[in-house]
Amino acid sequence: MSRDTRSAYFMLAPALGFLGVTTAVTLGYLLWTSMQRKLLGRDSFVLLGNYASVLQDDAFWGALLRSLLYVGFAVGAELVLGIALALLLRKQMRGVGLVRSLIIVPMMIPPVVAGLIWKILYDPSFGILNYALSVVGVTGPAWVANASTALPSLIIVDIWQWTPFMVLVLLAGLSSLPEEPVEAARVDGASSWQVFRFVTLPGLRRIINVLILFRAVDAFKSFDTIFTLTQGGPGRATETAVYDTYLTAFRYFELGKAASIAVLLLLLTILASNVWVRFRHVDLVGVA
Amino acid sequence: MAMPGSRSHKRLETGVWWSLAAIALIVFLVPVAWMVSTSFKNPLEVTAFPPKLLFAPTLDNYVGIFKGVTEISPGSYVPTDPNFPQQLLNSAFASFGSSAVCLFIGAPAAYALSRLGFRGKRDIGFFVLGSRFVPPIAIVIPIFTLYAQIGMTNNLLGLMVLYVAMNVGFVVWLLKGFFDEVSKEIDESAMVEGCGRFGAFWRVVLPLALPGLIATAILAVLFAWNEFLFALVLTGEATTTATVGLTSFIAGRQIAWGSLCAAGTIVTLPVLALVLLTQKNLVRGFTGGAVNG
Repeated sequence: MSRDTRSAYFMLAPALGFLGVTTAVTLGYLLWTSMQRKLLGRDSFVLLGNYASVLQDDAFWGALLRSLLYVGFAVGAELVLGIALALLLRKQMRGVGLVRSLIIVPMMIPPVVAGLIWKILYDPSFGILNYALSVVGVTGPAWVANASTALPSLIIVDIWQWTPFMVLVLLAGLSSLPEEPVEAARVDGASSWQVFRFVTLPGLRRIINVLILFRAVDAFKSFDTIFTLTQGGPGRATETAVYDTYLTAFRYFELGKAASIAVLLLLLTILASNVWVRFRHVDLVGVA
Repeated sequence: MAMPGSRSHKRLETGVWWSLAAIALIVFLVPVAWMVSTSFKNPLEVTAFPPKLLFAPTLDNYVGIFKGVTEISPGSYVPTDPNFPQQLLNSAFASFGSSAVCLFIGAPAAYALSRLGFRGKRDIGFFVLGSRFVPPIAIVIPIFTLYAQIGMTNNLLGLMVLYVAMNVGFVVWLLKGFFDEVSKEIDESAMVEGCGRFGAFWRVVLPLALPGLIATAILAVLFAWNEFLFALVLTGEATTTATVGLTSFIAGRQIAWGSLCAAGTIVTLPVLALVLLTQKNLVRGFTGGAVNG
């Protein structure tokens, strides 16, 4: 073994060892728990029984659908708004630096606090959201108290929290795009929209692919805001896949079943990520 | 008629730009500002309709959360969780502690990934970055089962182990990016002077990458501080963190909005201030280093 390799393993050992052990223990226990049914303190080994019951459970598929809707709409809106804002903030106007620094506040606060903030904003009796709407003559809905507006309300909170993240990364991406193609296009008489669509947007494609991947995976994991704002309700309206798993484990105490749902979600995430990385040629190790 | 390039066109452009920027700022900042302002209101003013913009501020809510009592409606007081100060300490301990460990084991690893070529480098890289793709719920269920069996469900160290596992991946990746920016020639000349690989790392590269180290540390603290699910499930009454403690103010139907906002402001402001100081490196931090800022 060369001296370099020896040093490398020595310096990597603590981190790798730690990650290796925690990953092994976690996955091991997860799989082990998923194959058991815990009834009144007596654990019975049911192998794939939990998986079978989960996959036949309408609640599971409903929750999964809600997650996909949440991720789809949230990430889609964040991307569109993010691009628009990034284009806006890339201009070297006076004060743009300040605006850029302040706009990141929503993504820095604990998601629990974001949930709390919007709990106040959404309140039908004294929240400023419905008040602002009433000023322009619109009667605001009950937001999180209404089953049909509850999920959209959560999506709005996600968009509010994470659009700045999109803006931040896209700004970095925009600033690294070369000037020449833009100038060449303008010389050829292209309009601003054409420049954006045929020069800028393709240039951003790599970053957008990474962004969609990261944000989709993160949005899927959303939990804190659901816990603070709706607790999965009204009824099941905001029970996303992750929240459903949480309830199964810690409200209904069916740890075995919950573990099996978690395994399925994990597999889904890994599969979807792999498909995305492969089909969009995402180069994770070196997007610069 | 405003011709492109003319003075009035420029002014129109600036006006439109500032209007849009102002709207963006209002959308993203007003909600947070509203929480802070509500923290200074008494119960009547909190639920006032139309919402009050100007009012006489009071510090009662802040005093109340430390004394363990809150005014839920004019004149009627209810006890609140008196543990909030302890919870803040727990949060601080867990986030700073786990961040320190992350840096301690992550920096050498990042250095190795940055400088040294060896077999399996690419796979190790993916392994380190991959932890992001695991839903926390898939971690908290087995760990809870394990901790319950070994009696560690009320242990802050148990939580910190998880925070280290959660953060070490992106810490290594971020630091690798920062180390990459330090020229390899510097290592070589240090080693020529008899430093040895570890010496070059410890005495040369590390000090040069200090700003990056600090930024990474702050981000690790931020992520641990803001974390909720692990703390919710894996801690007990004495070891709960501030983010979880916040939800105890939402008890059933009666919500002590003022106190809730005061607690929320306290939980948010310190780390927010810290982070605003290092925002240059935020892009890297939040994408785990996959995109350079």
